[in-house]
Amino acid sequence: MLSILFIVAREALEAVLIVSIIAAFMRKQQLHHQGRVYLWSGVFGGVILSGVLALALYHLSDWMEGRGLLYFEAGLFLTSALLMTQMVFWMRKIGKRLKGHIENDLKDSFAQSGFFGIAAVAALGIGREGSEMATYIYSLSLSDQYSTNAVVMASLLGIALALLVYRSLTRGMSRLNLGTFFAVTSVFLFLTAGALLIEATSRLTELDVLPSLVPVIWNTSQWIPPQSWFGQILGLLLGYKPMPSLMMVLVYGLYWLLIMSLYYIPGWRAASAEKLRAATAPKSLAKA
Amino acid sequence: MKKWSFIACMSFLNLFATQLLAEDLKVLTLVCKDGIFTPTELEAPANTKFKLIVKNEGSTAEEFESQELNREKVVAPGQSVTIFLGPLPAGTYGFFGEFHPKTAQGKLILK
Repeated sequence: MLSILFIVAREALEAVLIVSIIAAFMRKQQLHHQGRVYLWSGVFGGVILSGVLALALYHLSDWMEGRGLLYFEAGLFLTSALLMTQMVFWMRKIGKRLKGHIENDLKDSFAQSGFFGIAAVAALGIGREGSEMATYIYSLSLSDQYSTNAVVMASLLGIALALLVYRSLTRGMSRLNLGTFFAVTSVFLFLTAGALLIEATSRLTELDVLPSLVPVIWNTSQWIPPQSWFGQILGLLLGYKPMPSLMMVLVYGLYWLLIMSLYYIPGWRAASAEKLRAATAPKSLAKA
Repeated sequence: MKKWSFIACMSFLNLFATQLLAEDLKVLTLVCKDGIFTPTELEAPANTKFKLIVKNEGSTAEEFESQELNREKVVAPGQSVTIFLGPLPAGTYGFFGEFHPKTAQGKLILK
């Protein structure tokens, strides 16, 4: 009973984290009225996607000797990682626009496309985690081991627990100032996207699409056992793998190199340029 | 643009062709049944590619998971999944069933 509850809550946690980041961001930027429909249709789409994926697990597990689902998963992970990365860029850009115009013009295509991205990220995040949950709950409710009522109760409690986490996270994050909120969540979203890329790499290596180069480049399973609580948290947040392949390390490193050069370094430059302008502005005024 | 998509298509087809030719893999079978793996120890040669078929004969779903092998796969009851593994260096690689972590434990020994 208790184990069902915990497994459901844990599977839901990552999806909940992502949805609450999006919700908190929209609330902070006063976008939640326009964005609400998109966010919740994304959530709804994710629930449906979970069901479809769970059905595929039951009926298509032999498809192309199991390769079909592997290709599908790899595609799903890659798409999720790309969309999530794009969403962070969009969030920063729209944040700047909102700062510029008090009367915001959110009917433009840039805002619209961003909202679609948000819906897609929510749907994929929930679909990814939810399909496992759906398979688990469905099979438990069919088995003789537990009564259907007990399974339904435990799953509902697990989902309620996840929602509680969602609520407190959204509230807590809304209280942070925008700079801190943005710094923390963008790192989290990039890390999650990086972890998804590692998963996609693992699937593509299994399919022989990518070489592993070196199957196991290092082994930290003695220091940080993956099943320990610390290892599990690292796995959830960073995609920690105790025995990664060289390919995984390269993909992850390349991703962060790109993020650094496209997102962080230009951001820091812009920030220091602004500081410089702020520091020199009063002097020039005094001269005039 | 056209040229690139042509190259992409050809390499994709090529991939399938090589995979169809290289189907002579050693097969290991692992059965899971409501939180118990049989056998709990599997042996396979090191440094070669092989296939692990995980059959779920129980009435509940299982997730075959191994951090050491970098694999995570849900198996619905009555279904089986194929996991492609290797080539990996010799050693012991643990795996467990995520939906029954207390009882479903096993290891794969590569020699």
